[in-house]
Amino acid sequence: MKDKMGMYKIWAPDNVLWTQWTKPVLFTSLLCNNDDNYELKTPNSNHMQMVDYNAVIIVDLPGKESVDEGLALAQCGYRPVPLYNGVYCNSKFSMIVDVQGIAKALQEGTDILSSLNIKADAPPVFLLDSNRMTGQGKQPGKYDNRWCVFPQDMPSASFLLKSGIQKIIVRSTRIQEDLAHILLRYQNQGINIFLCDNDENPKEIKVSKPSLFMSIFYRFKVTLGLSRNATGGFGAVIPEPQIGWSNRRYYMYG
Amino acid sequence: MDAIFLYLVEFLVFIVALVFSFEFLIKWYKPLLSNRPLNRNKSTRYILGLLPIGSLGVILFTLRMLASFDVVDSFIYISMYLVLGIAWLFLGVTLMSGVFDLSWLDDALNLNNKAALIAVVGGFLGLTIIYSGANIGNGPGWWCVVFTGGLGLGAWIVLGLVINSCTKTFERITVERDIGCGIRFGSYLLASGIILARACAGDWTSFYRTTVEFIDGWPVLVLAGILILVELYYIHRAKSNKTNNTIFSSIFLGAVFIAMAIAIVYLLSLTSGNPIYRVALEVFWSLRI
Repeated sequence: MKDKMGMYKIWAPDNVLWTQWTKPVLFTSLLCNNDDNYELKTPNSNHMQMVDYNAVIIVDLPGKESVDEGLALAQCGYRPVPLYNGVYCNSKFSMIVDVQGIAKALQEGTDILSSLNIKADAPPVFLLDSNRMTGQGKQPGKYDNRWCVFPQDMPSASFLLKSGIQKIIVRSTRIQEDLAHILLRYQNQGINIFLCDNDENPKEIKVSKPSLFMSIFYRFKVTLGLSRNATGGFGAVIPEPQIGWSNRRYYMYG
Repeated sequence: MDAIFLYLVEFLVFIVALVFSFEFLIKWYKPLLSNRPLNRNKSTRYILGLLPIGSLGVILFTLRMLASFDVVDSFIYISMYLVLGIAWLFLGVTLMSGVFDLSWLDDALNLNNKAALIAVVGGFLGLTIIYSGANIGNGPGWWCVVFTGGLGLGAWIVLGLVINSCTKTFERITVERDIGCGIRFGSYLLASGIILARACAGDWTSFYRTTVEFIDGWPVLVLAGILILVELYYIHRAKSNKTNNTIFSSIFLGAVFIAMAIAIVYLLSLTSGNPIYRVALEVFWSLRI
């Protein structure tokens, strides 16, 4: 059994270029005890049997599927980079986005990942949870851990081009709006974008312009609608209103 | 009666500033001190942790040495203006995050973006110096500090937006993590803060006179213009694939910006007593309509 720091270092080794983008948020809430009933599935990825050093893969699948896919691609030679930014709440409050499966998969996947011999210059596979913005936000009494990925969370187009990256393969059913902000920046710099649904061959797509694209107020506006965690990432309890003696509603923080 | 009313208002301002100060300090230090050993950015934590302490030292020095005659020896007033200073920094940091898209928490700490860290440090020090400048000179109350400081802060923010609209500075710092750009922009934020602090400083006479005297800070426009030209040069250089290390040249340029600002403040102190200069400012102000 490894501690949190040990697990994080396996997912984000010091000598790897892409480590600087790894998000530590979910690693701080890992359970640190092995669950014998849990089995990690590693699906075969037909679309990427051979590692392509000119490609970056973005896996945007629901829950632990994204980790499974990332580990499958790691077996092909890619470097998985977890970008999950929603905090796991281990308390009485129910989470709006259930990240328990991802946290467990990251923990269980540590052994698989440490057994693989991934090259230091391996291209990255960025892991996202496609459920990150599902569910109604700001529900009283719930733990609002919805989150977004911002252009600041991923390498810039010029950085990718300097690293020899020519194409981005998005492993998802559709391009979400927050991801479109990043992909359109890449596309505008001449990087080709491919979308890969299921195990089909990737198809080249043109990313359409999302609202507030390149606006300096975009991140501020989006984060206003989310709940920040004081120690990083997103996640906070939404206070429940309580009726006072004068029939006024008061919001109490649990 | 008037005196009691003024004391009451000052007390309320102190309480409001105290609440915002506590909120700021909690929001600032909680992420820095949280049990998050997974982040490897210890130096960033130390720098950000020391920043408010250093800024409070600068403000305290100004209040003890250069503030209004009724403040320098008054423990109560010094406490009030210190607390107001922390609330001021809270406002400034929030504006930097919202208007400049330059977040100390997201970019500097959580994403460990060194370019953003340098820009944030320059911005934080610039905000501190503008507030300190607003405290220099005699004045009848806290509103003088807020008004003159507000003029400085407004000009500082607007110029930052103008620079960004010409050079996409914020995107290059936060997304491209261009350390050279972070050094140059951070130095500019500090240097422009020094010039605007000089424009904010002085004895209070009236809102009108203070606004006219604030035009003393016009050299900041020159500095902003120089930065725009410098950034356009670096953008052109990057497009022509001259990927040389820009850090040393950026440090040099940053030092030049700050030295320019100090020289401008010194020269302004020589010219501001000149009646012709003052008449020129009055004429300039009257031409605004």
